[in-house]
Amino acid sequence: MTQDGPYPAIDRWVIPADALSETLRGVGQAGQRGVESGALWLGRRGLRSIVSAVVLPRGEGVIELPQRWHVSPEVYGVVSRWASPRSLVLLAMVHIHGDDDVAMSWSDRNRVVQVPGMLSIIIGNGGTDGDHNDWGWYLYDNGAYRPLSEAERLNRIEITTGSHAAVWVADDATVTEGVPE
Amino acid sequence: MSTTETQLHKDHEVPVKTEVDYLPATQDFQHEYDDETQLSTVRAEAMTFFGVADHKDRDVHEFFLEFEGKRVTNLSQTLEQLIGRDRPHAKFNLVEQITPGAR
Repeated sequence: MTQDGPYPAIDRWVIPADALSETLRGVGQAGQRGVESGALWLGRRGLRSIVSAVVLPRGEGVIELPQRWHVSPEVYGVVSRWASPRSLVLLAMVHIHGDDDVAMSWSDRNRVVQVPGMLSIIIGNGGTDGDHNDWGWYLYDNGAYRPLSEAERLNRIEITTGSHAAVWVADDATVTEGVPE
Repeated sequence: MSTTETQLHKDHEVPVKTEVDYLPATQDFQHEYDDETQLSTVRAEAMTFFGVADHKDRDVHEFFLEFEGKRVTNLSQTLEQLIGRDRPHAKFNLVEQITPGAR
């Protein structure tokens, strides 16, 4: 954990419990339709990185299919322009799988943001697995995603009710606060 | 361009404070460029700063600059040609385009 520059080292991710519940709520409808969906978790990055925003990509520029969730560069651009003045950065990407397999596929490893310290989280059973202990937790480390061991996850992932995450919806034009319809 | 015109042009030259944001990064790439600098240079130096590179695996991964919400497609353009003359500041986003190949 020595990386500096644009990707400061992270010892611990602090994730508000409502970020988990709002993410599950945000992907629930897609899960019921049998397609993949997901969320972006943004916040302040540092040794203790705190998630403070759940961004749900929706509409134009977002593809939700049975084995594919894709967010277009244009949507990422909109989120980037929105996040920058708020000093928010992308800390994690969360997406659902239709079955109970939360292992990373080739696409999950390679068709995503790949920078040091990025988390990728997979929720099984179409997003109905409410227990985050059952989710797949992966960290981009030394040039590849690797699973967080249970011990490392317990040590480095802190789920808290002491802080709050706001929910936002992003498309290829704007980011607006609130849950999707 | 005559010598006088060239001198006038140089007298008007203002370095362009250039910023590039990348969503996962805590720092912007910041550099002052001559306005005759091609956008390919800005892109390349920003990508180096952010530790990313165009590459191919099964897919094609390419990074592009966005300016005022629009993708910059002509990287041989200069900063001046993109933003206009005597504008002292340019802000870009760096975004990755992944074009799926064979699965």
